[in-house]
Amino acid sequence: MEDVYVTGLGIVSPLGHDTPAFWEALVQGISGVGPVTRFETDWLAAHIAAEIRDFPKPSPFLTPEEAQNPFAGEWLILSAGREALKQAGLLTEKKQSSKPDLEIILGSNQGDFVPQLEKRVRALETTEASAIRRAMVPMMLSESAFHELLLKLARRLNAGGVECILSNACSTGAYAISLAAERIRQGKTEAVLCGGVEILSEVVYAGFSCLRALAPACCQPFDLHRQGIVFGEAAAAFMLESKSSVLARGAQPLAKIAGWGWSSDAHHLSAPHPEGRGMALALQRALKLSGLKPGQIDCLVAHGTGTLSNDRVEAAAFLEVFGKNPPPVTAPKSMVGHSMGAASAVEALVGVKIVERGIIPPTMNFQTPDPDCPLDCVPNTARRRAVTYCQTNASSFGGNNVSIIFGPPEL
Amino acid sequence: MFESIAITGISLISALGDDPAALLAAWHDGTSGLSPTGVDELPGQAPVLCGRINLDFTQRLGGTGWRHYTRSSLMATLACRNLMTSLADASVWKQREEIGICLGYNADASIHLFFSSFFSTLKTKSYRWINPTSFLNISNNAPASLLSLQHQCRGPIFTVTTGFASGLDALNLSATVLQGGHAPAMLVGACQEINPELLESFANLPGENNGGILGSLPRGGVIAGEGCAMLSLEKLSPSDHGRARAWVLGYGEALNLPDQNTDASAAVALAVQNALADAQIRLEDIHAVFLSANGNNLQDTAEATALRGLFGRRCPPAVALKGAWGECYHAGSAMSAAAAVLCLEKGFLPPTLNLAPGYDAEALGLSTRPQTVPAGNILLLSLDRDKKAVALILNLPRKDRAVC
Repeated sequence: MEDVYVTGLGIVSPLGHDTPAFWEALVQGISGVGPVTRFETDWLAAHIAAEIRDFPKPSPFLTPEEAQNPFAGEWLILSAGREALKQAGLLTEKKQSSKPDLEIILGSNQGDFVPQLEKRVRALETTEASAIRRAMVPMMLSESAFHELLLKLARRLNAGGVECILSNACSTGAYAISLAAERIRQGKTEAVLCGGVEILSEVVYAGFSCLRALAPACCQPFDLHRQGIVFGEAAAAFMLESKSSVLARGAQPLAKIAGWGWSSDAHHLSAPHPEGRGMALALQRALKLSGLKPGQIDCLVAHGTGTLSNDRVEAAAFLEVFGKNPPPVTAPKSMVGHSMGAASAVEALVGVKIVERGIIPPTMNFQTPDPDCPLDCVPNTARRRAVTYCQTNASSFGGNNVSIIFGPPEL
Repeated sequence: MFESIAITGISLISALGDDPAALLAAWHDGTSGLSPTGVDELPGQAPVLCGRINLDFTQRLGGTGWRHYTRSSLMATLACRNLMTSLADASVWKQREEIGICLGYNADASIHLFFSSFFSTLKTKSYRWINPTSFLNISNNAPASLLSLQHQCRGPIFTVTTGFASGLDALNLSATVLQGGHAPAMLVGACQEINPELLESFANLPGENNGGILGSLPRGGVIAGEGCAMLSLEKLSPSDHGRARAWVLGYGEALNLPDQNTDASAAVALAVQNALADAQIRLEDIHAVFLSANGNNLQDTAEATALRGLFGRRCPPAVALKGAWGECYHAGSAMSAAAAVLCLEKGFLPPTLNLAPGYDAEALGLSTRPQTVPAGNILLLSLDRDKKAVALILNLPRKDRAVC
């Protein structure tokens, strides 16, 4: 089996349009949350989100022609993907992959299909249901189809290897990264560009608002008075390579992927297992694959949505796996919001940076400890700490759980 | 190459029903599952042919509480139930904690319903409550999560959404998960339900049938269908090899990287070559081909060109199953895989129904009537319009079996 290394990272987020800007803001505890500008929310109970602003503007990762296009997920993941390729030393002058057989594995729940559908429907002069349904017809098998996001990215990067798009709801980004790692581990390929992307959708936002799952003011993971999710949007990309590839190219890895674990709650379509059984299984399976003991994990990057049930259940899973004193836990959604299909990839990127920099970003908006969540959440201020291994946790509607462990980049 | 990854069970629901014996009989008799849509099903339009499943899912599933679930979820539930019943004696399927699920699926039908409801009613009337189940149904992972809940499977769970290739991609992904030791067994498949938007989208695809393998709709366009296939995949120890109904040998894919609307035959050929290399077999070791052909001239021509280029005049026997049940989109290639095992276990290849008038079937080795074919290596193809080509190679162990 091959060891798997991270050789490049890329991100477009509400906190910045590349990894250095994102990380700097995250460590400083800057919030990306503000009023929703993309659509009207006056009829809803919530009005805030972490939107990506001023993108695309002149960018080192998009051509001037590409940067002219309207805001869409395809440009976010293209920019993030090229940033990751560039850091790995695999981006050509034509902004394409220097590996023609590069594989791409993405996670997304809507691609650009749902947001484009919304635009199309908003442009209609009718609210008649059958007219709205007819408006969708030209999109289904066209360039707007869900998986076109992946195919367009592959074409722009001239990447001709295996391509796959996963749609495991909120955990799908980390599913994509770990599946990519698995393919490299088995020697099926030597390099995969992977990650997640999602942009804000009115229908999904309104749906969660109607389900009373959105917070009115801010996201407060693990706080006693947490009130729910704050939506966000992002694209996060990883360049993963086998040890052989890293050695052959003389590349400088950022981290090693030490292990990953997948599980299903098999409990409920929307509620997590009350004792965090599924999450604990994924965490334990990742530890088992890595050969590490729970005590060797120095930091946890939480799913931390800020909902009452998720945070309580996640804390229970951490206590189950790590005992009474789990390692410090950070919850990036307190600053970047919940970017659904991209969220777990964003959090995985945070995991790599923690190992690389030895700084744990804060969990912001934390004021009152919750007795049901007895965790060290690194409240409100970043903490310097040597981190050898950092483990992430992600879950989703339907209980699709995934955990990834990042370790030092020694070859 | 996949080592010892076997298909140990199959369940298939299509316009030809869900009973394997009836399906085999229908194939043998050349029965088509295509039927016209209802008079008012496509507003303002004449009925079109489609491959609709005529089963009452809620009645077949029994019990109550199904009304909130999508037709795709019901289809997958029934297919999975049929499959699990057939696997009841195998001990691995009693250890649900580690078993994984992988489904090829896209929630297009639910998204259409929810969108029209949202923009026509909810938003304009400022409702502040929606049905949680109907909202959650727009999540692509809902059917897979439902299966894990119903069968208490706590292993890895994946939803793959790669268009026409979703089914074969799900099989490849599941084989990878098994190979890596992440689960002892996987429930894998794909489902697709018909909805008015899908019917119309396929009917609008350019399909003048100039070179297409299958017949298209009278005004052009592809005949849509619906269906679901579920397969059980296991990594078998040598002592269990007798339980293998087919072995997964190799997978290959290729993108048509130039701009769209260019000939994708090179991508099809490359996908086949990649699959052969992965399976470590030669082209002449292929005994039968299950085509992606769906009546779209662009796709069918690329596929036929690639196969003629690869095999020359020695094309192995081939069949295009979509002539009997329509283009089932996300589910189509998984259905093809299940069907391939079912019929070749019996030693025959079904006829290609709804062949395009005047098409030279012989040149492509296309079956026009039930044809005796020995067990061996099967090549399955899936082509996503002019873009992505996927090839999967299965091996059916040679046994003494009845020949039709």
